[in-house]
Amino acid sequence: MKRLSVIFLVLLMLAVPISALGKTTITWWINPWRIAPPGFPTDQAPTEEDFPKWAAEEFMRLHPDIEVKYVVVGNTEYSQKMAAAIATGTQPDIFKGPVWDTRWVEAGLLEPIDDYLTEEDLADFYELALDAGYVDGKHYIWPWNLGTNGMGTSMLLYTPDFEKAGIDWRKIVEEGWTMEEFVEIAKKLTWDSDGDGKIDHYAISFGAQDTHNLMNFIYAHGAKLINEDESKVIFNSPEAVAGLQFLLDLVEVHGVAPSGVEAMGVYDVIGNFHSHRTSIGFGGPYEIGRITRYVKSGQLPEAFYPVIAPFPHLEGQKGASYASASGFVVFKQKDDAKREAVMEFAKFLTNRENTALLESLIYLTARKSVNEILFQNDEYLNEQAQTFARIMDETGMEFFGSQSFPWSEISKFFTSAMQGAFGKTKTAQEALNGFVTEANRALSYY
Amino acid sequence: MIYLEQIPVKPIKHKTTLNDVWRGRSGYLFILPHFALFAIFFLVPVGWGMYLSMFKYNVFSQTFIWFDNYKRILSDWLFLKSLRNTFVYTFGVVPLWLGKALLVTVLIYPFRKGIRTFFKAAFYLPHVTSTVIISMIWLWVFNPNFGLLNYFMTVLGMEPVVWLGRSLTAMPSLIVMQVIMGGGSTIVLLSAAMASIPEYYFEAATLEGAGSWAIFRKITVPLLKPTILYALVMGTIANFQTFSNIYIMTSGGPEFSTTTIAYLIYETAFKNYNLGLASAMSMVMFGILVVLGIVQFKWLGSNVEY
Repeated sequence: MKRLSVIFLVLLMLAVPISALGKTTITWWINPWRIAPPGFPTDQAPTEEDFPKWAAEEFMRLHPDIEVKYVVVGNTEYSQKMAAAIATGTQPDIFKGPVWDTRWVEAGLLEPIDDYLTEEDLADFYELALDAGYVDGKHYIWPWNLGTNGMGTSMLLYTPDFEKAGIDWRKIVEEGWTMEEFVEIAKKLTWDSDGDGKIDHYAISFGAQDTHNLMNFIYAHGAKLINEDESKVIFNSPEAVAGLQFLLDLVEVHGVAPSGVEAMGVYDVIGNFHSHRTSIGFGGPYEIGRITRYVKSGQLPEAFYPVIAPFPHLEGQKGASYASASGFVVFKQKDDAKREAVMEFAKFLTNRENTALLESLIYLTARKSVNEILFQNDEYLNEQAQTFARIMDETGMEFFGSQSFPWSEISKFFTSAMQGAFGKTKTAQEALNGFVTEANRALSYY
Repeated sequence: MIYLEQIPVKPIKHKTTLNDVWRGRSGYLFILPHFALFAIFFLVPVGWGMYLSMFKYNVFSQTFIWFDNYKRILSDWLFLKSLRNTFVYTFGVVPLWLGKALLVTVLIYPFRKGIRTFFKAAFYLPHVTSTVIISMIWLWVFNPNFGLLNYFMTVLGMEPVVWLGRSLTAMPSLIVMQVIMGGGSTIVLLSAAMASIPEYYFEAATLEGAGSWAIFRKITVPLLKPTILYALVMGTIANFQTFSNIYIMTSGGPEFSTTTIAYLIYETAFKNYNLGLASAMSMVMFGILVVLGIVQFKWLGSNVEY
């Protein structure tokens, strides 16, 4: 009996690896996307594991000869994890992170996807989404989402405050607002709530580490980050200085934004808007989804429904909005069969049905055909998504140069410049001069 | 007449041979597991780091450039500033934190065991709490608009301060936080060391008329010196490599006033993928720590009674 048990155990131990033999294993890294998979309870907030778990299992069900191993990689840790993985040759087969690096293409680490994109795909994906992965004449990204969380793209207006101050927010949403109008409206939205003689409610707030939203105001003043051939940073032009000075004045002269900008980041700004300390927040549909998600997870006591509006613009000029798209990249495969399997998985993730799952996160997708049917049962969200898409379409631009421009090498100098300007250790001109000097020095080493 | 102790004695130098190794094989076998782990997780990475530091190594391409990375960092104002910041942080935190630990140890020593244990546990608690959680709490304490510290400042009629947003206050704020939260393990170590000092030393000193300060200076501190030295060296090394609180609370800002070497290494290696340059920075940090360790042992360890 004892011998039989031992034989049974050994056979069992052998059975597992034998059953795995012949299966193609795909490793998939994805940053946290709290997407509700099909059939997910509506009264619960999805976790970052729910979507990748469902997608992996569903794909394995459709392709029993393929095993998908997913890893959720945090937004802040992915870069070191990927650096270590590339250095040791253990990178995943397919990856979706907050950003990707065109140096992966230059180093021959990625598979071009052109042979796998159909004519139908090319017609259906937004050009902006395809361009996001276009390097040296080839496409490297399977487009998935359009726009990011909307930081630097659009603003969120808390309409009850606007109505309380007698401001027509619908006009702002439809027609936009000039910088002068913005200042006047912001003054009306700044008040003392508890009557102690001190301002405790502001129109808006900023964070020195909240790059996208600050840059929008500077771009709207006509500034350019880099020259035509992307060899020099030129963000200290008179237009750039005027843009930064406008922001500084909102805090120091008009008093419509709280001080302490130099110590704040994007989550402080979001927190101020969520707690109604400010009437204007930042972001797109995703940020509306964040409100619902925070209510479900108990981080916010009650839901509210802001509207999406464009950033202000100079009189007679077009405003600016950060337009971007992202998707999945496939790392180089030695084995042809495995390459086919990974591409099949990428197609599965970015097909119409699965791309449409981004709706639960209130994200716009990279497919035109899917966006047409999003939020059809929710008039409010449908309206916000349409406004967001219109803003990007009319004023969308790339904030950080082309895919090959090394913004990550110089971003810290921009943050430092903002800290210096808002901390009043430097003037707007000095801060931007410092940024340009350091950025160009870093570029010369690059 | 020559006394035996007056004859100079030269230590017998004995060259270790393979035979000696063979004779002591059981001893070597005992230290082998530890040495293997030490070699794999310390010697090899340090050696590999030295090797990498001579490359322009950015995970995509590797070019051997001799000592160019060292030349670059030693002429880079940001590296020199981060070096200065690291020294300010370390030499700001370590003496205060060690002083606090020593003071707390002496103050709780006269209490009975239960009370002593309670205080030791209370001070040790932050040591077992995640740095991330502690940093998040302190971010709220230092928040310029609704932080606890500024609330008290306003109650006292003072102007609120942007603690982590100003170059002048950011580093001192981090130092204060570390001093308040740190020192738990040192208090436990010092308490254990203090308990081993024979009680009659204190009794004799008291009978001789020595006051508390004299007892502290002449008995307590000298007899705690080995433990203090250990805490000093370990504290210097740990604080010199500080990273997580900087990463969470200031990201090295404002205007790089809290960028430490460890944080700069992280940024260079994992944000910019420049592993060669980051390795050169690590080697400089390693060298400084070795020198600091030697200086501390030479300077403070000269009259330590073990």
